[in-house]
This record gives sequence, C-alpha cells and structure tokens, in this order.
Amino acid sequence: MRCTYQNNKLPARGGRILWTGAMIAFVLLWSLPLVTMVFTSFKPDQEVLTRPFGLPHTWSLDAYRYAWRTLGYKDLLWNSALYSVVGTALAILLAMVPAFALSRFQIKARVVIFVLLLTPMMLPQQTVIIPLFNLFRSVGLVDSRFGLILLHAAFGMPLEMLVLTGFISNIPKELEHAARMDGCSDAGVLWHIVLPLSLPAIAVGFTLNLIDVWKEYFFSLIFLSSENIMPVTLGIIRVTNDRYFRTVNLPAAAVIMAQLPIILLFVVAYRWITRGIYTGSVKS
Amino acid sequence: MHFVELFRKHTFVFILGLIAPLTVFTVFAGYPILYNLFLSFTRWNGLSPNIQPVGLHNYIELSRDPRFILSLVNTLKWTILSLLISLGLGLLLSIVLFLGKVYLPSLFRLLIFVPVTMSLVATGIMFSLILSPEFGLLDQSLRLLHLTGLSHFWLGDYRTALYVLIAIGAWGYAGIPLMLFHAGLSEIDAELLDAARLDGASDFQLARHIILPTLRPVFVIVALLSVIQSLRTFDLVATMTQGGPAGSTKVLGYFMYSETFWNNRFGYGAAISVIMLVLSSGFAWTYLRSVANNALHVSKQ
Repeated sequence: MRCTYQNNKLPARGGRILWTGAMIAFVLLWSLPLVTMVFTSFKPDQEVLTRPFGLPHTWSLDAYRYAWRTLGYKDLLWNSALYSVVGTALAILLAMVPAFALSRFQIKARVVIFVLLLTPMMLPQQTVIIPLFNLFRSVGLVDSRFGLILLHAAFGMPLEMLVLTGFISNIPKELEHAARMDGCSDAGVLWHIVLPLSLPAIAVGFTLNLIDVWKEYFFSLIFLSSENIMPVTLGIIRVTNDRYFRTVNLPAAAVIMAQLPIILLFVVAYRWITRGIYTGSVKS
Repeated sequence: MHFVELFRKHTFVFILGLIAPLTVFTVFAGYPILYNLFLSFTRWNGLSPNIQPVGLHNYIELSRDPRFILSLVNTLKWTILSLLISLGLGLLLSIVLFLGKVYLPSLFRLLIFVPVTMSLVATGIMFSLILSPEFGLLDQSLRLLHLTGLSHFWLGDYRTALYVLIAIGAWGYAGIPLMLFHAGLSEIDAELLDAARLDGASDFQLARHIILPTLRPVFVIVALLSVIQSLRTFDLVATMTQGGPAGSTKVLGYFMYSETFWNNRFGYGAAISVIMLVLSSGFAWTYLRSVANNALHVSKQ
C-alpha cells in the first residue's frame, strides 16, 4: 500500500491554516477562467454585457438551448462518445494479448519490440498524417466513422499496452502455473486468470484513453468533413465565427457542454486515473 | 526462448500477441514514417498521380524559408518555456501539497488537474473569449476597475501572442507534472522524513537532501514528456491564432499543416514533419525505453 507522508509534528495548526489559505487563493485564480465560463454561460444576453462578472442575476438556459440546437450538440456528443468508447475498447482488445506475451515471453528482443510497439504514442501526428490520409483515401475510409475509430484504436493501443503490461508483470506466476497444472492452455490462462485480475488496470487504461480521444483534434480535423459525423472538438470550432462570438454566453455554454461529460467522468475516476498516469509513464 | 519454439508452443499468443500488434505498428506507424520520408524528397500536390522526385530540394528550400526558421524558433521557445513552467510549477505545488502543510491536499490536486481533462480546442475557445478585445472578460474587468490603460490586445500583438499561448498551454498541462511528482513523492519513506525532522532538518533541507534526489527519475520523465508534447503543438495555435499575427505564433506542427493541407504542398509538408520527427525522436526513444523497462521490470544497466 502506498502511504502519503503525514506530518504530525510540524508545522503547527496556524501554519497549516496559512498555507491552506494561500493554496485556496491559488486554486481560485487557477479555476477562475473555467468558473467565469460557467457563470457566463448561464447569463441571458443583456446581462453578459451589463454585468460580466459574478453569479448570474437571472439564471437562464437560453445559451445552452441555442447552442444545443444550432451547433447540433446531440450529434456532436454522441459522436465523441462513440469514438472514445468504441476506439478505446478496440485498443484494449488489441493490447491484451500483446501485454500478456511481452510480460511472459523471455525473448531477447522484447524491450526493443515493446518500444517499437509503443512509438505511436509519442510520434508527432504530423509525421504519419500524409501517408495515412493517402492510405485511407485509397480504401474509402476518409470521412468515415469507422476510419476514425480505427485510427483511435491503433493509436490508443500503445497506452493500453503500457498500462496492461506493467500490471500483468505483477501478477504472480504461481497462479498461472497452477492453472496450467489443471490443464489450461495459454488462452485459458488469459481468460481465467489474467483477464479477471487485470480488470483494475483495464479500468484505468479505459478512462485515460477515453479522455485522450475525447480531447483529440488533429486526426478528426484531417479525416472528417461531414458535419453529421464530427466529434465535439471539431463541431465546437464553429462558435469562433463572429456570428456566435458576439454574445459571449453562447460559446461559453458550448465549451461547458463539450467538457462536462469528461470532467464528471474524471472526478468519479480521479483515484484510478492519478495512479494510472504514473503507471503509464514512470513505473508499474 | 527462440521464436520458432515460441511459435510452436504458443501459437495463439504468438500470433495475437506479437504478429498482430507488429502488423498494426507497421500499417499505422512504420509504413507511414518511411513513406513520409520518401515524400519529403518529392514535389506533390496531394491528388495527382504524378509524384515528382526533387532530391534534397525541399530541405534546401526549408533552410532558406524564413517562415520555417520562425516556426522552428517559436517551437523551441515553446518547448523551453513550457519545460521550465511545467517542471517548476509541478515541483513546487507537489512539494507544498506533500509536506502536510495544507488541509485536503488531494482536493487541491484534483482542482489543479481539471484543465488537463479539457480538450485544447475548448480551452482555446475559452481563453479567446476571455482575451478578446472590447467585449472580452479581461477587458471588461479592466474597464470596471478603471484600468483601461492596462487593456491590451494580447492575441493581436505579435510581441505577446506566443507567450500568451504558452501560458495557456501550461495551464492545460501543469496537472500532469504535478501528479507525476506527487506519485514519485509518495515513494519516500515517511519514517526517514520524520527522523530527519526530529534531527532538526528544515523544510528546505528536506527538499534538498531527501525529496529532490528521490524525484530524479521522475524529473527525467516529466521533462521528456513535456518536450515531446511541446514539439508537436498544434491544437491551441489552430484554435486561437492560426499562426498569426505576423507569423508570431507559427510553430512547426501548424506550419506543416498549413503548407500541406492549405497550400497543397505535400512534399514540402512531409519534409517539415520529418524535421519534427528528427527533433523529437531522441526524447521519445529515451522516454519509451525507460517506461518499457519499468513495465517489464528490466533493471537498467
């Protein structure tokens, strides 16, 4: 178990209150842009201009209603959810057996193979975009939901492999040996031992990659052109048109709606994620 | 074990666990990298079947293209400043929140991390709203405080735009170094710290002699990650300034995009992205080797 250092001698309570006060001030300043956006999004048109700050005088959902309708948020959010959930699920599916293989097979080249398989995670997307665009165009996968999901699956796989491999390496070999004694094959061991034990790692990998895909912009920008299949990162750009930008509450509502699902997910999954970021990048 | 033996004994795992992912790698990374390298030696408009080989021409043109030099300089500025901010802020916040000086440290960490979950597009739009002249929230608040003299078109001034974007990028990123440093700190033996305190060590001495040495490996990881992220910057620039004003926020990631997909110079764009790959490959390789070794429990020689 990891234990956070708790200091029970110093500093005295007074010091802690002072430090906490300083920290509250910092976090208020840090969150100010986002908080202001929330307030602004609930203000009616006139109030945005007359009272730009503080809580709305009259709470209004007009901006949300308008943004939802004119920007087609139902489709945008649905598309984003589709891409992030299906893309991530596929990535995990692809990553499961490799993670098992790499953590178990004692082959000489395994570090090199692993690093190779992880490279898409760190590759500048600009380096692969032209050939991939070409390839996808020649097989009719440009401007297609399926094409984008494939991309997200392929580029999400390395992160999932990393999280899963680190975790599976820690599963005691004895469990596996016992299962093999009982006549389990590789597939049996994977299905009956490794998979059930890896569920926490799968949850971490799922959440982390879900957030990544939800945030993703470059691939969607290049590969999609039809409005009905755009994810929210692409659809929301339209509010930067002057038409919308003159009333600040509408783009504000659009920003909040685009991020709310993922911020909620993050708050719920906070504990796993913070562990997972570490697992995914420093150690297992 | 040898590959042949592996294949014979573990056919299923061998195929799905090695052949399949290597195929995915080849299709989505290996082949594109090589084909992109090839394209960088050609002139091509992206559509016509006529891909014209031009040798080193694209690279020679790049070396004389002031827009490229500017993008390169801006990218380096972005990389270095982001690195300093993310290391500094992350380290400072994680230590303050770790030393037990603050109530509810994990709540603070959560709040500081929230911007990381936002897409940079949404972040960009949000800050454009705040910073836009006249009706932007910043200008309005200055007017309210009768400080109109301080009002400034931050994104419209070529001297400030890049730094504003870097600061916004740091806002959306600082949560990651904070969390990484925090995780590194929680490896520190609590008894060691207690003992040091009993011996009268100050917070500064604790930081200097116990905390910082423990964090060294995390330090490297945080730095590498930050550099790699900065080198491929795109979203904020595309959302907020499109490289302007006067090219002052043009970075390699955006320059490549505009040359390729707006000016239809696919060969030239490929050459820019090859430079991006070269710049980041050393950092990426070091980073990936270290995380791969850790995940596989291979001790470093």
